[in-house]
Amino acid sequence: MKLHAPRYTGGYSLLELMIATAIFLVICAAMFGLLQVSQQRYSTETQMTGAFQETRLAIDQIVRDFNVSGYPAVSLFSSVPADSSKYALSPVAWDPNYAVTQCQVGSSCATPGNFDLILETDLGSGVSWIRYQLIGTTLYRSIVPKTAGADPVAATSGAGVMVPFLTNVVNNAQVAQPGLYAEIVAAYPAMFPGGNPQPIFTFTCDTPAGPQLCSAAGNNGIPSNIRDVDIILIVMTRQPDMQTQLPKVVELAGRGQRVNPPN
Amino acid sequence: MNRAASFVEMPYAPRRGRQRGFTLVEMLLATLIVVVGLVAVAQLVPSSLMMNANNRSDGTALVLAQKQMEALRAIPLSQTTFTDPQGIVCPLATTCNLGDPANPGAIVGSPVTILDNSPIIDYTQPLVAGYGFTYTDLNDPTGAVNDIRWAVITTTNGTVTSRRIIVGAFRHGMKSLNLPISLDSMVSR
Repeated sequence: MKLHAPRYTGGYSLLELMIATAIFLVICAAMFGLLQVSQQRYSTETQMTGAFQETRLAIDQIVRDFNVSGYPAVSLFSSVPADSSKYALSPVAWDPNYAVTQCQVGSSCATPGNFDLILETDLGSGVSWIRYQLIGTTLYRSIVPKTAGADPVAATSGAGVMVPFLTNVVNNAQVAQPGLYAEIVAAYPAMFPGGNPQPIFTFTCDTPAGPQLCSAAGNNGIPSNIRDVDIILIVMTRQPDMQTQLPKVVELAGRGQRVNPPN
Repeated sequence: MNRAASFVEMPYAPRRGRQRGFTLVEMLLATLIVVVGLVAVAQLVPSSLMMNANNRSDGTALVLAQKQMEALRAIPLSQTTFTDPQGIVCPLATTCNLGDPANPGAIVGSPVTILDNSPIIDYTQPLVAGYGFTYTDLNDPTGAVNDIRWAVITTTNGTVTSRRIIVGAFRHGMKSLNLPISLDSMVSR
């Protein structure tokens, strides 16, 4: 018998290889599909965590600022200084007619309002005005030294005084981004009762009959009587959810309690 | 040359049509083992999801209890009732209580039980009016009922000198079982 290479060596045929490759590719495609879903979920969750964290930091800062507002109060001086920038007239400053006549919270006040709050306190370098104001979907913050005879709104209205503090706040996005706002309200109806913009700041005033909402406290609903502020921040993620193409929204609430009454 | 002899003599020779594979029983056995392993691993997924949800709920309960504790601690010792026009730490149009100076040294409010030498709110007892409330957050997808309660121990020497506050938060009505949270703090002059 002549020695020669065996006719059949047990290798795969081209057809077998092609079928095997096709099956492999199908499985790979399915796995990549799963991978993509998991990537999308991951990115959404990261966005959510980011929005949550930023909102939490913002609430903490506002609550801290409010808690120390009104220092030093007039009552801490044996004789009230002639220079009104040496003391805090009230924990919450107001406009119009600052330092002359107080306005009614919820009606005649331009600030404090649903989306605007000016605190008056000494953070260690003299009495300052700290202002939080929502413009569009950005919450701005500023600190300016209090000057005697000045108006707090005018003092914080110069160019570059207010700096962005928290972005993508949708409490009052109705005007700035109506289409987006409608989508968010539809997706999260419980966050926007009646589809209305949600106030960031809600004020509670001291009255002889106990604490009441400033807007319902009649003549007691003035800025110097504000004792608590409830803060609600509704913040959307920077990018929409890749699966639903809708922005996800987190809502956080906090409460500041001032410890320095004005008198 | 019979067949057996040829198998022994030429083990690597091609024998098309007479290849020896696994038997059906072997395959079934192998599949069974693989399935048992896969099922065991797959059961970890729902349990980890459940644990994640439970942890999140526990975190929520802790935040609620802290919020309530912060509000109760801020109330002056001279004051034994409080209201909240926002309805957050005391329901709207109700007056909540914070101890009884006429009954010093006693636990006033929600019943308390001792667990590991720490007082915790006893959630097997019914809610005491003025010392707790329940509510459901409409934004909470779990639909849990948040049950917030507190108890107060007042010490006096003519006037109130200190107040020990025990706050509990319990989220129930969810699919998974959650345990209540209790916090314990004190305010003194």
